Amino acid sequence: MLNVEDVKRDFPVLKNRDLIYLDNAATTLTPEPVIQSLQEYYKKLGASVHRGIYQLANETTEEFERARNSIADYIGANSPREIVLTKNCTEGINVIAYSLERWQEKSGKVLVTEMDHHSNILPWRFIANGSKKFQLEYVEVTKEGRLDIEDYKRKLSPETVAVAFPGISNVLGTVNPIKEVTNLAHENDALVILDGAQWLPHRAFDLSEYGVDFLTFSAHKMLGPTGLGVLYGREELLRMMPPPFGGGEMVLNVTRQKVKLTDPPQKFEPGTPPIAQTIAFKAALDYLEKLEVSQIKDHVDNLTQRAVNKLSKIPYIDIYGPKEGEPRGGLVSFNLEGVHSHDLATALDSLDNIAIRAGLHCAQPLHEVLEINSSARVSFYVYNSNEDVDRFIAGVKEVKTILGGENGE
Amino acid sequence: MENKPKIYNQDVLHHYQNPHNRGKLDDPDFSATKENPNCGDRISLQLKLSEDEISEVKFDGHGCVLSIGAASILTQMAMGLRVSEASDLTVDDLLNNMGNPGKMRKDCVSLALEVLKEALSQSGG
Ligand SMILES: Cc1ncc(COP(=O)(O)O)c(C=O)c1O
Repeated sequence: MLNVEDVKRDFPVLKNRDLIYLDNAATTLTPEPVIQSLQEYYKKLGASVHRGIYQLANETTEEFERARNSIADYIGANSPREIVLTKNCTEGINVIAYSLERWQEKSGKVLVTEMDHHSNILPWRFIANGSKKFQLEYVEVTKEGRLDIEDYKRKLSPETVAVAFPGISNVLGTVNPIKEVTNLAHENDALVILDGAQWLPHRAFDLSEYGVDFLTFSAHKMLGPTGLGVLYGREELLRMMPPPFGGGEMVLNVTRQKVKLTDPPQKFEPGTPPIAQTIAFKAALDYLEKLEVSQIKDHVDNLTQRAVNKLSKIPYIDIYGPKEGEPRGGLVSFNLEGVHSHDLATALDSLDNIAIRAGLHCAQPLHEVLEINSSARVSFYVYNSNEDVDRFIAGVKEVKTILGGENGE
Repeated sequence: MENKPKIYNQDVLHHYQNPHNRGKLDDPDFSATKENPNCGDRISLQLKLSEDEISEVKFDGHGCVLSIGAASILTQMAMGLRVSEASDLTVDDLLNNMGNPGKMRKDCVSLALEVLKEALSQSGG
């Protein structure tokens, strides 16, 4: 079991502010070892990577590539050459989408899902709009908030170019059957892009188990610094795919007429990469491994189920996504009858210093499917305790009595 | 918390719970609708002019305490103003009339104002 009080002490923000932070699906707080790593980089290292021929540059490059190795190990990649460092999860998906459009000879459908984040919809939509090659289709979500596998099978065909979907929905919390979706896609020669933004923070992920072709996620949602995302791609694919952006550090040889590109991953990393962030992300991964990912999952699951259980006992609350007891990522979205989600979030903040998310969570198509104008969302992580859940529940009831009209208790 | 502005003062809450000028006009001269993409709030507004003055105004839509409260208060402020005067209203004017709920959710407050301005712009004002 995680010792939450010990964990909390590692997070300076929680010492500096009176705060119950329940917006972890958006971004997580930063622990001391990650802050220290950032400081050490700026105090002791600091040259650019891959270019220098002096000691400082060599040391920096070594640290940087060591971090890339750690990322590769963390997700079970075959080689660090499969790990492209990006700005965030969103950029990773964009790189794949633009590159595939230029490289893929196959034309046909790209499937995304109704439960996708805009990050995994808009890159594909922009490309489909401007292209005669790709058309975009949405796999439906069932009333229970699951991916509709029958609908997926109907839409999937040998003409499907790619299937892009989230491991865990950032609104519903639904845990998608990655293996099943991937196997079905591969039977149809379609490439699989997994948006791992909500999976990686509290679940183990082993590429050899799931066999996806691409995986993207963000460091800042798993205790790492902002400004860094990871794009994993199977090496043979990355070798064939053209980079959508050009710049320094990605070429072996440039004349005025000809360009010879380097191998992946540098081919996809033009310009100076996020060096400090990458090195500090290794500190975040080490920290997660020290806590043990399986323990993190159990802890987050417990908090989430506690919240689902308590929220579902309140008559004026609608919860979206899996039922109590069913697998769920570390988040719960809901609405309070008669109270706008923004008002709930503002009131919880001003009354009790509880930070929750409200609005559309960058998933407007899903809200359209759910036929709601917005929702409130709580999401949990390693430094949250049972008491945080209980204070949140008490806060919700309090807000209902203040703002909630005739349904107030 | 002492250091946070009181977003939900009684006056704004009262407007939210009992909005003024809510509904639709039969035969409006101008109308407009806008949505706040961050939260899905949606306000539409209709108005009638008599000569150059706003003689009737109604709003409808869905939203939070601040966006509905602001719309209700704004329609009261706009009634009887000349088109040029109403076009010059600022978010700060509106915030002042709402007891200054702080600027953290200025977008919620400004939605109604933007809708009003769009409707007025159709009148050539
Ligand atoms: C499921 C999902 N995909 C993608 C993203 C985008 O992450 P980022 O904003 O770090 O690129 C998020 C984050 O909000 C998310 O929840």
